[in-house]
Amino acid sequence: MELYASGNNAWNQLVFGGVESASNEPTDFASFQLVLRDPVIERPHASLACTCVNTSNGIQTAGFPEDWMQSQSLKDRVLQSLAAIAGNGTIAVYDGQAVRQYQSVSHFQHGTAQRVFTSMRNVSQIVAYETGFAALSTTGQVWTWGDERYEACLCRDVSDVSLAEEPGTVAELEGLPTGKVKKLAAAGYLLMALTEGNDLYAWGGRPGLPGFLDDISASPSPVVIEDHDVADCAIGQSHAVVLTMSGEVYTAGANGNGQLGITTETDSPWSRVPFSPGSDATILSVACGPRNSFMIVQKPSRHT
Amino acid sequence: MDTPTPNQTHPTFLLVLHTAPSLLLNSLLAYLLQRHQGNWKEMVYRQLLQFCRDASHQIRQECDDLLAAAEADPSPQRHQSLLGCGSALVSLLSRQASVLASLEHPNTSAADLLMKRLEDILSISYSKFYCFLFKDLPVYWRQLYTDASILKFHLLLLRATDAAHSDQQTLSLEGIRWAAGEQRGRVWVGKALDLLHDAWTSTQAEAGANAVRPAKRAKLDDKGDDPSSSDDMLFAAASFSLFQPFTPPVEKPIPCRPAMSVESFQTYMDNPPDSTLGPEPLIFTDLVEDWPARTTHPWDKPAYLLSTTFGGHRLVPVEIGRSYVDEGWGQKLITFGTLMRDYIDPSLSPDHTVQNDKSQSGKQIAYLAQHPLLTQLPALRNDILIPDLCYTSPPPHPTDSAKDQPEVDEPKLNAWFGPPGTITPLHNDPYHNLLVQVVGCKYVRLYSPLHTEQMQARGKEDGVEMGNTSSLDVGVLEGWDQPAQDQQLSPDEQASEERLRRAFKDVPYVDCILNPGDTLYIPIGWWHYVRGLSVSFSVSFWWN
Repeated sequence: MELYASGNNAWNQLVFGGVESASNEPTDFASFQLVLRDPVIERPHASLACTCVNTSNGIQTAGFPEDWMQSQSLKDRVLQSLAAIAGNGTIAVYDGQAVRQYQSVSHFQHGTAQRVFTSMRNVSQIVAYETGFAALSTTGQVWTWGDERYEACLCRDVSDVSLAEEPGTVAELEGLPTGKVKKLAAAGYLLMALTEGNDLYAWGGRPGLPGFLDDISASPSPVVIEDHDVADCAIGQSHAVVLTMSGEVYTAGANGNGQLGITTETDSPWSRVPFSPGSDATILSVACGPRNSFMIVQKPSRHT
Repeated sequence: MDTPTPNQTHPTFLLVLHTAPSLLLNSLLAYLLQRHQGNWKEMVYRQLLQFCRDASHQIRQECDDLLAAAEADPSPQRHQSLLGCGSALVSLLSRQASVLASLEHPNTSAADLLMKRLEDILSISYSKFYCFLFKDLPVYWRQLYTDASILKFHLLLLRATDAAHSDQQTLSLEGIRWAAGEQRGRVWVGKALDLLHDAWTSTQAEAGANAVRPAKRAKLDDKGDDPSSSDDMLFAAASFSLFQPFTPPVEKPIPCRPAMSVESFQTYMDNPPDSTLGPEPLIFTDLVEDWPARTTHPWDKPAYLLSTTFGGHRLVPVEIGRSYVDEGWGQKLITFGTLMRDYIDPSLSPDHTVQNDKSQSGKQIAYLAQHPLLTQLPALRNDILIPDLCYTSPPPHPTDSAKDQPEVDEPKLNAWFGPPGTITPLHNDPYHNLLVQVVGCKYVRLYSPLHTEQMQARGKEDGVEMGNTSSLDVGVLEGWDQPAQDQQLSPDEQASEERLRRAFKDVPYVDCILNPGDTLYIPIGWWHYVRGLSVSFSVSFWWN
């Protein structure tokens, strides 16, 4: 399997296996390039300065080890999508029983949770945006919670009985025409939900921040990329990546670090990335760091 | 007069306050270089460059010390230092400072990458400003922003003298108000500005002596990048226009009297006629007669204000829109010259025609409101004097002691500079206030704290406490302004609106028109509605 990446490389986080010379400042990748080859490559987790990916040799990292990675248990949970760190430094972790929220990495290390939420059961994924979180259960239920100033990201009514800071279910993501939600993505002030029938919905926004997708509001709206069904999605600080069922990758948003993998200087609407995985190879999934993008490619097994 | 303190106010207001580094010097250096290169280079360039070099060196040193300390002890208390941003960003900042120090030429791909990385750091730290309420924003994010800004300023300075860049690059020195950091921060930015100001004054003197000003062209520069032509108009104008598009009637005039001694004012506040209400509003007609702003350094002369703002090049954050509770209200940064020329007084604009005065309808209103302009512009600060009356001990809030704030050491100063028609909606403040009208006229209406229940205070809106602001629009209720167009009210709602309106009409109030030189005493907790009638410049003093 192969991992391809494009975008921010300020900390050499796209260079696996050691950097030869530290004398030159690393440059960003302006297009998707091969960064790792291994029999097993799981979905990478990319934070601002570091990329972690589970391989047949265990977790491999590239870039600058960040403070949160000092804790092995947090790192494991993050790679399993059962923990996430919001832009304001807050951490949410699911331990099989409850979601615990910590103010910072050191609070997590000291085990001093700020809040414990027992209302969420069978959590399969936790994602974070700048000022809050969303969680998904195996039954397709979605909860959101976070800073009440950015209510659009919560996708639900906030009131005295349904506080912003406490998880509330997102009714609008229930009973969708193409089945239950199977995956969430979030970053910046944008959130997405992908259904079993491969429809993608997005919501969020921050007053004063021009969104890079059309029709983003406090209510989920379908993300339409021509007529494509969506196989996978990922969101960065101000960009997003979608893998279609037909195996093509589309990106949209800011391209200041080359995170779109296309040549454009300005913010871009959905554009197909001119990337071909090679004959018989398929793109399995996509991922985003705050300012970079990844795709995992399955090569046909070699016959000797 | 004052809108709420930042952490209570509307999110957009709050956000811009975070991000409005109230000191941006866009294009100033490039402008200086273009027009007065030789002189500029000799006089100040080396000094300023050395100043930047020292700062960049210091930044690198501090970052490296912090990183070494973090390595020695991986889990220290980091909340006070730049390490709160994470070692990765500290390391990136240090690397950029190092690249800057060894940069051979400012016009190479290495320099381009350096600029990009500094922009990356700026946008990363900038995005954090939105993640927190301002009171909760960790200081290290502001410090990171400031230090990256200083490095960027240094690089731009190198580029400004490079022929390839001098005609296109603009310089920005960002973050004095929110600049943070013990070693540099606000003090550093202040000193850099002093050096720039020296350059500005000397080049202005040279320009005057050589009479090299370009011929006046009647062309409005809407970007404000080349202010030379329109500034001539500003300099030529003697005083701001006195035009008042609308003057509300004063129905319940506030008593006026000559200034009091500190002792008499203390007695006035301590012995109110109604002890449950506390002291009542009062106008002093001659409290500020000795202010330079009213005499030797006249604030009503555009030419004088421009001379304190690098010829109008200083950037200031302004409110765009009629009132901070209106839809579409926002803030942006514009140059002081643009503010005066395009918003405050259109008669200063080179393409001004008389009709413009009456057709304000299409024009957005800009208001420099609750802005610590006087901190930013020490020259203007020196033109006013803190009234002795602020050194009294006023009584606490008459009805709600929870509103009382910790005692302030110095009165809090704010400047309010806007065109006719600016409105500060009905609200109250947690301080006693002396509102000094320096230029132009303002209408003020006050309701006592005993009528707070009838003020229909707003609640929490979008997560921000707006409880000190009324949902009533005095201008609309009085028929002076049109109600917002987009409101579709059901008959029931209309009826209840009408009931509210009638009930509100019966609430007693006092009002006044403040003329230049008047000082209005607004006791703590009094609800006030303020409306600029002409071009108006006021200063408020909060104390307790």
